[in-house]
Amino acid sequence: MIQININLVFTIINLIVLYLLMKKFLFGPVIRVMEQRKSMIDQQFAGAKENEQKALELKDQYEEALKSAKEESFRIMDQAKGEAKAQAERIMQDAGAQADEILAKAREDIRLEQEAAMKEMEGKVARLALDAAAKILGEKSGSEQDLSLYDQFIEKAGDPYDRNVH
Amino acid sequence: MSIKGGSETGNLSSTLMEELENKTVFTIPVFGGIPVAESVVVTWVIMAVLVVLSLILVRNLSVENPSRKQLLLETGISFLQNFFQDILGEEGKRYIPYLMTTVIYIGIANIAGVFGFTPPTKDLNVTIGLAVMSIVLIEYAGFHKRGAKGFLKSFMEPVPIMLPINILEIAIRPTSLCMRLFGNVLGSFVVMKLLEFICPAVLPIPFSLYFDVFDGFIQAYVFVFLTSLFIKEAIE
Repeated sequence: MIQININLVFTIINLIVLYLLMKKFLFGPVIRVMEQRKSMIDQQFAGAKENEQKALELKDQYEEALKSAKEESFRIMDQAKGEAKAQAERIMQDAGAQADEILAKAREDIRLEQEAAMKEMEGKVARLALDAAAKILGEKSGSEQDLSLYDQFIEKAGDPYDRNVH
Repeated sequence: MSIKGGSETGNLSSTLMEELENKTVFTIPVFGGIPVAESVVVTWVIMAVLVVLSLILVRNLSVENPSRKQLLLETGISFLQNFFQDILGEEGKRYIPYLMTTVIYIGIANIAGVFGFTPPTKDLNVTIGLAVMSIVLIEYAGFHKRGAKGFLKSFMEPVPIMLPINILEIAIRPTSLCMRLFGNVLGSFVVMKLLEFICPAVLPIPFSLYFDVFDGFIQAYVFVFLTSLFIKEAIE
């Protein structure tokens, strides 16, 4: 019943052979497939995580861009407002200045006109006086004589009496 | 056999003794004849069945869409793998395929009686062979982990006075492993033979379920569980 013999060696050889066979034909392929699947799943998870990360980054970027765009638009609006205000002020100022200028010019014109009218009137008065003098002094005595006569008259009579002549 | 008397009892014991003998199937006619026992031949049969089954099961393995057959196979193998991995940890990973082979072999060997074969584990040579392999693996694991110096030093742990006991352990561990397995299988074999002798019809079925199937798997489990525990101890 209990006998130890050469079959012990056979058993050990059998075990080693069985181990090698099982490793080659059963455990090897199955474990390889399981590990491949595991690595595939890990890879997919890593990919998903990476994509999520990317999406978040993009979202941040967009938000940032949106924020800066808003700021930019506010800035532009402020600037435009400021510019518009400045321009309006300038236009008002210009308009005022222009109005003043026009007024001044008008005044000057009036003054000049007045002067011109005065001068003309002076001339007319002189001729009238001359005519009057000529009429008074009698007929013809040469125009040069007349003028000097007038001057003499003016000198003697003076301007203030100018009116009296007429 | 229905009537039992004194002569029948003698008949029973002689039959039983005959059954317990390890039969020699054939003799290799060299060196004055090398006997090849039944256990070795049954082991060959088991090996052939396992290899053929593996070849069939491993066919068309797919990474992306495994079939039901493949899922079942993977579940089984990952169950065994996790079982050993839990005991051995990451460092003992390299010993897992051998332990899986052993548990499958012992499990099938123990229930070989169900299929009409003599369980190979009833032969002391087989259990000694298994135990020798186990102790070689255990000591190799320690040697591999610690190197020659650390391996020798490990016999003086935890205190040098333990040295003789640690050396004795090299013999005690495989002896207890092989005797436990051998005793269980032999015992259940004897009980089953007696039951078959008394009533060969329905009676042996529940007992066969216990002694052949349940006890067979329990013994396979205990054998590899202890082996892996010892390996873990050696590589710790």
